[in-house]
Amino acid sequence: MIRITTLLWIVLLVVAGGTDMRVSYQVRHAEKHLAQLASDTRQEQDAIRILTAEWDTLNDPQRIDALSKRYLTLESTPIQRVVALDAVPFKPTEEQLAQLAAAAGKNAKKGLTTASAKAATMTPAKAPVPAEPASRVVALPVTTAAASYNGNGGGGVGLILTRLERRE
Amino acid sequence: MRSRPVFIPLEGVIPARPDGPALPESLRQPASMIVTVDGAQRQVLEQARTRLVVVGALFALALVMVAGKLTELAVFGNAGANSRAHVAAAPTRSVRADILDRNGHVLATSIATASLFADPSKIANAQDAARQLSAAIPDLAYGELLQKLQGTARFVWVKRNLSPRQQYEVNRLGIEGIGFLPDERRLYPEGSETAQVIGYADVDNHGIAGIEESFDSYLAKGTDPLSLSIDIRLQHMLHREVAAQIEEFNAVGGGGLIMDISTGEILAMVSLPDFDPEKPGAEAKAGPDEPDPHFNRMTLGVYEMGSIFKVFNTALALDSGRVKVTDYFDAFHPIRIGKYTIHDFKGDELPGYSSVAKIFEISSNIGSVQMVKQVGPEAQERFMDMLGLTRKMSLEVPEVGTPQVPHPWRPINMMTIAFGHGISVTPVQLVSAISAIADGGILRPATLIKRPDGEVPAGVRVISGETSDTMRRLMRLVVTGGTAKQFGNVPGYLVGGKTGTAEKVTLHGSYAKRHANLSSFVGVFPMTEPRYAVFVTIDEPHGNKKSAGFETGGWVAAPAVARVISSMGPLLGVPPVDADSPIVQAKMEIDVNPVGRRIAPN
Repeated sequence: MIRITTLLWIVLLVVAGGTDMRVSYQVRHAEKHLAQLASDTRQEQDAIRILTAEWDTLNDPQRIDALSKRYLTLESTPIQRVVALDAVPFKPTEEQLAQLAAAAGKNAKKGLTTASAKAATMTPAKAPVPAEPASRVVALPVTTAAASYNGNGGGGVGLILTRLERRE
Repeated sequence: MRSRPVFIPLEGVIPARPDGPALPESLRQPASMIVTVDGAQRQVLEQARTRLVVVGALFALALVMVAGKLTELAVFGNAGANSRAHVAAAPTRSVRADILDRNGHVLATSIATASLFADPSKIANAQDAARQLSAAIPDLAYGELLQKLQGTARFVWVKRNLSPRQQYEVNRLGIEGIGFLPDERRLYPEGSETAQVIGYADVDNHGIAGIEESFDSYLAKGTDPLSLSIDIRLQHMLHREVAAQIEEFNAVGGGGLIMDISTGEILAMVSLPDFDPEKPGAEAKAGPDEPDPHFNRMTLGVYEMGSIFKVFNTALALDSGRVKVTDYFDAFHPIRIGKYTIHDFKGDELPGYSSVAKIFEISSNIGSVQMVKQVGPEAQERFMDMLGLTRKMSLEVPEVGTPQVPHPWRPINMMTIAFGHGISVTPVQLVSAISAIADGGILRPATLIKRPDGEVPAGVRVISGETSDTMRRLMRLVVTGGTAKQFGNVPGYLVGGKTGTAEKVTLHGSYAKRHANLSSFVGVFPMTEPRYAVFVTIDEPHGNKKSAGFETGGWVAAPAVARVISSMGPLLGVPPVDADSPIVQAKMEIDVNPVGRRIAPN
C-alpha cells in the first residue's frame, strides 16, 4: 500500500532532483560566462597596458621636444612674462578713465605722449613684487606640440608595438 | 500482563516493568508482533541491539555535524570558501608593476605578450614551416630557424615576446607543432633618458640595475605601481642641456641633478653616456678608455669637486665663530707645505688681503686655506662628517659609491679639502649638503621615491640659520659678480651657486698630466627662499673659441644650469623675483670690502 506520505516524499525527491539539475546547469552556464568575462577582461587589461605604454611613448618629452622644434615656431614662455596676479592692476573704473582722458589731454598739451601718461597713471609707481612667493601665479601654459601634431611624419599609433617588434 | 522488552533507541534495551504503571495505549503492540527469546539466543540478540545502538549513535553524530556545517555556511557564511571562489573569478594577469614618475607618467611598464615555441618532432615539414614563419616575422632568419626546427630537441624558442599583431599572423598560418606561452615584456617609454635611475630588467623580468634591482621583489608582486620622485619633464630638460654641453665642449661625459631642497627629493638625475634599457648590452664600451654607459656618475661615481667645497669651507669657518664675514685674509702669497705649493687660478690672483666675500667670489684657494687654518683639521673632519660627506649615503638604488676621505686627517689634507681636493664624494651627497647650507642649515636625506604631498622629512641642523643666510648672500654674489657671472644668472630667478673646476685624478692617484678637468656648477634658486638646487658637471671639457679657451665650471657647466632653470621655473610655477626690489636687495646684499680685521697667516 502506498501511503500519502510516501507519495509526498517521492514528489519531493523528484522536485529536489529536478531543481538540483537545473541549478547545476545554471552554475555551469554561469561559470562559462564568467570564464568568458574573465578572458575578455584580461584582454582588455592587456590592451589598456599597451595603450598606456603607447600614450606615454607618444608623450615622451624628448619626442614632443623634437616634434615641436620641427613643426612649430613656438618657444617656451620666458619668465619675464610670468607675473604674480597681485601685480596685475585692476581694470580702471569709469571715473578713473575720465580722469585719465583729462590727464591725457593736459599732457598732450604739455607735449607728453598719451601712452606714457596712461602708463604712469594706470600702473602703480612700481609693480609690487611680493616678498613672499605669491599664492596665485598666472603661468602661461607651456606649449606642447602634441595638440597640433596631426600624425604625419614618423609618429602615429603603434609606436610602442613597432619598438617591441624591432630586431633585438 | 506479560513481561516484554521495549526497544527505545539510544537508551538500549530496557526490561519490561512488571510492576510499573501500564504503558500508554499507543505503545501497546499486538501480541503477534512481539518476538521473545530466552537463553543464549536472547543474549546474541541483545548484543546485536547494542551494536545497532552504537552505529546509530555514530550516524546521528555525523548528521548533526553535517547539519551544523550547513547552518554555518548558510547563516554565517564562510571566509575560506568565499576567498576560493574569488580567486577563481579574478580576471587579472599579474605582471611586473609599473614605475611612474612623480606625476604618474609611465617610466617602466610590462605588457603581456606571447612567446612562440616549437616542438620540432611534431613539425611535419620543417622547411615549409620555417619559410612561412620567417615571412610572417621578418626578424626571423630562414636559415637559423630551419636549423632550430630540424633539431632533435622537444622544445625550442622560436621568438620571445611577439606583439599581438605578430601572434595573430602566426596563428593564421596554422602550422602544427608550434605554440604560444604567455610572457611579459618590460618596456621603457622614455628610453635612455631615465636608464641610469631606473636600471633595467632582464628577459625573465628580474631587475638587474637601478630601481628595478633594488625594488625587484616589490615590483615582481605586481600590485601597486612605484612612484619615483623624478619629474620626467625636468629629466628631459636636464638631459638635453647636459648632452648639449658635452657635445659643445667635446667632453667624454657628464651628469646633472635637480633636487627639491625642502624635501630632499631628486627630481632629475642624468648621467651621460647612457644606454637603452630595452637593449642594455648593445652599447658595450667602445674601448678601454671609453666611459662605461652603465656607470651612474651621480650615485656611484665619487669625484673631487674642487671649488664647490669652498661653500662648505666658508660655512665651516663662519659657523665656528672664529671667522667673521668682515675678516680679511692673505690671499696673495702662495702657501708652501712640504713639496707642494698652493696657488690660485692664473689671472684671478687677489692682491694682498681680501675679505671672506671676495675670497668666495673669486674662488681663491689661498684665501680658503687661510680661513680653514683658523678652525683646524678636527673641526673640518667633524663638519664634513655632519654633512654626510665621509660615509656611504643611503639611496634607493644599488649603485652607491663610498666617498674617499683622508685617513688620518692631517693638516695638509685640511688645506686641500678647503678647496675641494683630497676628498671624493658622490654628486648626490654634494647636492644634499649644498641644499642644507642654502636651506637654513638643515640637512635632509636625499631620496628617489616620491614623498607624500606636504611631507617634509626630519632633518639635522648642520649650521645656524644666520650662517645659512650669509652663505645665501655669498652664493648669490658668485653669480652676480664672481666666477659664474657670465652665464649663471637667469633674469627673474635669483640664482646663486658655486663653480668648481677640479683636476682629474688618474687611476694611479696622481693628477693627470694631460689637461683633464671636471667642471661643475651647482645653482640654487630663488636665492631669497631656496626651493631647487640644480647641479651640472662636465667631464674633460675642451675649451673652444666660444668659451675663449676656458673650460672652467663657470664657462662649461653654468650655462647648462642657467638654461635648465629658465625652462623649469615657469613649468613649476616658481614666481619670478624682481632683483631690483629693495626687499630682495636687502636680503641679498653683501659688502665685499667691509670694515674688519686682518688675520695674518699663522
